Amino acid sequence: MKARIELRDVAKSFSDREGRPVPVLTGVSFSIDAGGVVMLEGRSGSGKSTILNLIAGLFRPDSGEIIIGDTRMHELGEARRDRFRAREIGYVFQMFNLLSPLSSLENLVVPLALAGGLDPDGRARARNILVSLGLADHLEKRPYELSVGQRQRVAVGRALLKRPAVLLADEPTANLDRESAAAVIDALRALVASGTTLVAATHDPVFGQAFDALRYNVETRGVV
Amino acid sequence: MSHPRIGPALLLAVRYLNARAFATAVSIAAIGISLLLVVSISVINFAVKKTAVEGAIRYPLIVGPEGASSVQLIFSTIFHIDKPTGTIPFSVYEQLSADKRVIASYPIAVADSVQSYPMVGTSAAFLKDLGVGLVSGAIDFSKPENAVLGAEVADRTGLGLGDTFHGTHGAVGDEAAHVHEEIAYHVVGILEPTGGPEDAAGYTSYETVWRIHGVAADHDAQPESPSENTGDGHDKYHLSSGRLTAVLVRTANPVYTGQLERELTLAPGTQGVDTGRAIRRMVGYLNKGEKLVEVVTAVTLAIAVAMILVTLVMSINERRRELALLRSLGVGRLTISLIVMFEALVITVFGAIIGVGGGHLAVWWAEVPIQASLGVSVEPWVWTELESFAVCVTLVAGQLLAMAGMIWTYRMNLVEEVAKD
Repeated sequence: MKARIELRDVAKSFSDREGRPVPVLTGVSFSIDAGGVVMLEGRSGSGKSTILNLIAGLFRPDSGEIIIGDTRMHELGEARRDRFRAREIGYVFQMFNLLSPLSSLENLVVPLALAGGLDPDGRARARNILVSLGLADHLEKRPYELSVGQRQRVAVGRALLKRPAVLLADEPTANLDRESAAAVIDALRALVASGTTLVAATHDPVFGQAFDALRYNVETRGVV
Repeated sequence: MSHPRIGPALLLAVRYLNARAFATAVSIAAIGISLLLVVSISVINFAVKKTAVEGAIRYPLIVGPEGASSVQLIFSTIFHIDKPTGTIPFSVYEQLSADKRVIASYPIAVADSVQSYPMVGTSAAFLKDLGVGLVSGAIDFSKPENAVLGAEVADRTGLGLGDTFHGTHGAVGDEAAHVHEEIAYHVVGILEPTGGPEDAAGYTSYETVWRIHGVAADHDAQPESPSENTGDGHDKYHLSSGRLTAVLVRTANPVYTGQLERELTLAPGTQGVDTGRAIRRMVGYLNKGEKLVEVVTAVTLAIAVAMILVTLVMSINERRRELALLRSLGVGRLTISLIVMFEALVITVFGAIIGVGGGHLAVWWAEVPIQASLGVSVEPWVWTELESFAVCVTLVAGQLLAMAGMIWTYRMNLVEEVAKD
């Protein structure tokens, strides 16, 4: 599946400790065609990650519409959003991105299997992906045995294995050395070239300039 | 949920358990030890009750010296544990043999042992009526030195057909015990294993016991004293000619059992014991003990389960972020809950397997000391009702634990965890 993404006047607030609503996003609108790239810009705490989580269906917007392909995410219940996310969305986080008791290879295979999306040849593909990311010698290693850069490449490999229609990346190259960041960027560019729509939040200028992307400033709510 | 998700969920559950190996081991051990205790106690109890009931059916009446407790008399005569409580005249046996209310009666004279197993002086009829087959040889008491060994005795002492051995007067370990050099027993038969007390005894004729104790087997020369109760030291095991430690009696019907019990108890120097009634009382005590074990088991398991629940909830909280990661990757609440449920189930199932297996293994390992101290041959691999109860309680508790963990996880708002980043 290739998916166009459209956000229309999306708003989201969270409750504080007293239960009072605290607005995080208001009037967010942008769209990107299938295979395109959106770079979310803005200071820390401006709501970039919240937009990614809204597109992923982890949150429902308070108001507005989120449409991915033909799917109106904001209208789906939790279970259907889970299924859609399992099928169509890949997510690369800046932190806490691997399951500690699993090896690199298992970190690719097991979550996808748990989400019900593992192909019969999934394990072999997972192995090839990790090899292509320069992790051939680290297939059976646990996260604590890997460097930060290696962990992030495993997380990217997990997104590649899924061949998602939409890839969400939250600071995917933060804390990485240049070599590791380059490997991650190469992998994501290959994915985008295959038709995946990428939405990324980043402060890394190298990452930002590596893609021909629509740049959306979350604070000004405008396309740069 | 589709079937292919169960394998990876189980894998992840096992990996999480492995990651906190110590807590997992303690949890499994808590369940295992609770079950191990109840299983081993229930298997031993089962063996004691089975042997007692079989003994009561076979010999409804035991006649022994007055003054001894009925349980002690049963233990020394049927189970071959505990020491003889004194002696009675051989004439009691003769009178009972002539009594029309009696189908069969068997003299019992115990004074010696072979490597801690008692040598029972009796009649050939006793062994023949026992209905136990022979592995080799014959039941032949025609010569005074002839002896027939129970299966356990032959196995543990290494004695075989044609071998000779000397008996020890008194129990092994007693200061007064000494080897009888006067006569060497000659093994003429080895009984098949029965799982009963006869496995753990050697048999010879009662005349041989008298002969070994220095007096010819002339019961006409018996002393007039109706009873020789035991004293300390050597005299405890002294068996005069013409005296027996007990007589086992099979009566024509229960009414006669009651009549004979009363008559013999009223007679000077003797007492009759209605075996069935005494055994029922003993089994009643054992059942009360089992009830207590059931309660202790339930409480212990409840504590173990509560401890595991606390550990599980703590571990779930510790990995909220990883569970949230799974959610963000599209893994549903139910699948994540399943992982937690598997963790609880793996602990209880492994605990149950270790407890049940360990309980039976412990009984198997302690088979000989149990036989020596309780006089019963335990069947280490027998499955008892109490064991079924304990296993059911464990598995139900485990299932409840799993459900609690599952519900706890299902209700967690893991998405909030994602929002923290």
